[in-house]
Amino acid sequence: MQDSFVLKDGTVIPKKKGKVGWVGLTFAVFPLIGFVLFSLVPICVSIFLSFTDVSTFQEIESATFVGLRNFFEVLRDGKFWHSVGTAFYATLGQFVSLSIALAISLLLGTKVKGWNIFSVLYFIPYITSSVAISMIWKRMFATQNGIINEFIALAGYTGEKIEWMDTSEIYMIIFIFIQAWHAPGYGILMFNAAFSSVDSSLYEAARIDGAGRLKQFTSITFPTISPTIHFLAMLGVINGLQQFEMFQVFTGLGGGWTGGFGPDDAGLVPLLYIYNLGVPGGRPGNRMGYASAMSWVMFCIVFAASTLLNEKLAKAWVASEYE
Amino acid sequence: MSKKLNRSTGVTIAVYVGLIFFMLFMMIPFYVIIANTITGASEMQASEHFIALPSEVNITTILELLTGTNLLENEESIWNGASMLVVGYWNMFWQGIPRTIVSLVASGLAGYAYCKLQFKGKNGLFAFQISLMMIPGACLSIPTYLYYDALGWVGTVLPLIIPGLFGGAATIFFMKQFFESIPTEIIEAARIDGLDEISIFFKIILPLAMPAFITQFILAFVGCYNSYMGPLLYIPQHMHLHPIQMVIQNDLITSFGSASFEAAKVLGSIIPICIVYLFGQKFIISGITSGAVKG
Repeated sequence: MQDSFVLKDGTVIPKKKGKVGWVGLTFAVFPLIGFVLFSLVPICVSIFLSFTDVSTFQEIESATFVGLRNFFEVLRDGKFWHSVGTAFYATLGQFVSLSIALAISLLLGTKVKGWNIFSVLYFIPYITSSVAISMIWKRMFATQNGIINEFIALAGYTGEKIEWMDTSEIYMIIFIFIQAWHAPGYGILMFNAAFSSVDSSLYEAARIDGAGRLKQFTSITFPTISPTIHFLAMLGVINGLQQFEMFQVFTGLGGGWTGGFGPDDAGLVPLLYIYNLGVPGGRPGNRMGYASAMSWVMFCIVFAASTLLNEKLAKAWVASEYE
Repeated sequence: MSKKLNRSTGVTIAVYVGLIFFMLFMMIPFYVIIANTITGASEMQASEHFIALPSEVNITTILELLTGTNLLENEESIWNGASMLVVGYWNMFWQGIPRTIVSLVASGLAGYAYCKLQFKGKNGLFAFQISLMMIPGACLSIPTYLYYDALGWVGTVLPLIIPGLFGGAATIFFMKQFFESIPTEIIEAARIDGLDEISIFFKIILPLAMPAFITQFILAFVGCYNSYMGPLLYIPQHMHLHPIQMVIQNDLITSFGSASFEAAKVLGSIIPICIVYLFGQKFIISGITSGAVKG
């Protein structure tokens, strides 16, 4: 924000100061009221709980202060770190879908006949609910009559049928497939928007100057869409590490409150672990204080990962207009 | 756009191959569900393989889903005795749509302020607002539950409606980006004509940004339609309040529990939202391209 304008001949015109701009402030602050009322208070409650040994909500009065003990325990909890690894694995799916979305939008960008029909169809998996997705993909990966195993057999594989949902080493492949299927629709939408914001006269000028297809891509298309890639990558990391609903519905038996976590906990993501430790309802063995501490460790991991991506990676190649 | 592109046929064919291959990947799962729905339970159990085309088309599961043996039993509800499917759709509508509209207007106003109005602390507030997107919402599910319980909101639909009235960071960001394409001169002219900011927003910005609003509305509607974890957390036992995904997943049960019925439930939940999307998608496309007419 400049404090004054400087004209070409050197005259300095001070900007009007001292106006608060109440109307704009009111419009802008209203959404933040929702944040203060419905997120900030729970955040404070959560910080408080993470320093106590409260087990269930009913016993909240008998909670005692335990200092940093919960946090030390989280750092030594092997199951937690296993779940963090799973979350990073799950985030891989976000990047697979981002790459697919980019490739497909480049194809759509050629505007071949019927491109808009394709882009309409590509969006349908994105509007499918996690409940439906989990039912669909359980069928796709079924051992006995799943279509994935049929395709593998068609490709010439003759061994035992692969038990996708009972083998911990390959369990996460299911979720990568689900991401690659469910998420590209949104990415394609965003990339289409970015492409259409390119001034088409730029391409004409480039053609006149004799720029080839590749040159046009590297000097016009890519700089325009790099902020979108950045935005989607950030969103991918933040959402990927915090995946919950899909895993809850998929691993849960019939989508109930709790369920299995897949073979050898292969489908256990941090938020699922946290949720099951502190799930409201007062089951025995609940550790709400511990779960809260774990939430904050997870928050730090998400924050660190997204900041790292933002600072190190993005600065290297995202066009500087994204400010 | 009648651009004469000197594209060789080879490139065009390669593009089509890529697009069609990807479309198959996107569509096969839906085909699997359709095939499973119309395959009889006995035929499916007898086979070790996926049945792409059943020997005879079986629609009893679809009829069972539609005519419904799953009725709401709740004397206090006006929907007592109605099919759970109908109850689910109605609940989704009244719990979701008004909230979405209020939220969109709130987000739109905030986006408008960040884009076109001057006020103190604008940049700081915007950075703060955007950083809220980073909050791991699901991390907070436990304390949030405690908070709503303390307010006496658990077992009611209030936690599903009230917090959603205030707009969202991502929508504000999207709106702000879209408003950049609206020339500031129009707004200044309206101000000179004596319109206040609220009227400018509703009479000038809203109509101009309609594609953006409809795009966001459809995305939000999809969110309402698919909402599942919230109801599961706050109204698990209140069947008369369950929105559609809860009904599909938890309340619709069949006497046989066959795989075909499960597949039919999935179809029953996907088809309505697809119809809404197909009607709305032309707005989505225009919402995107109209953001492009900058220069």
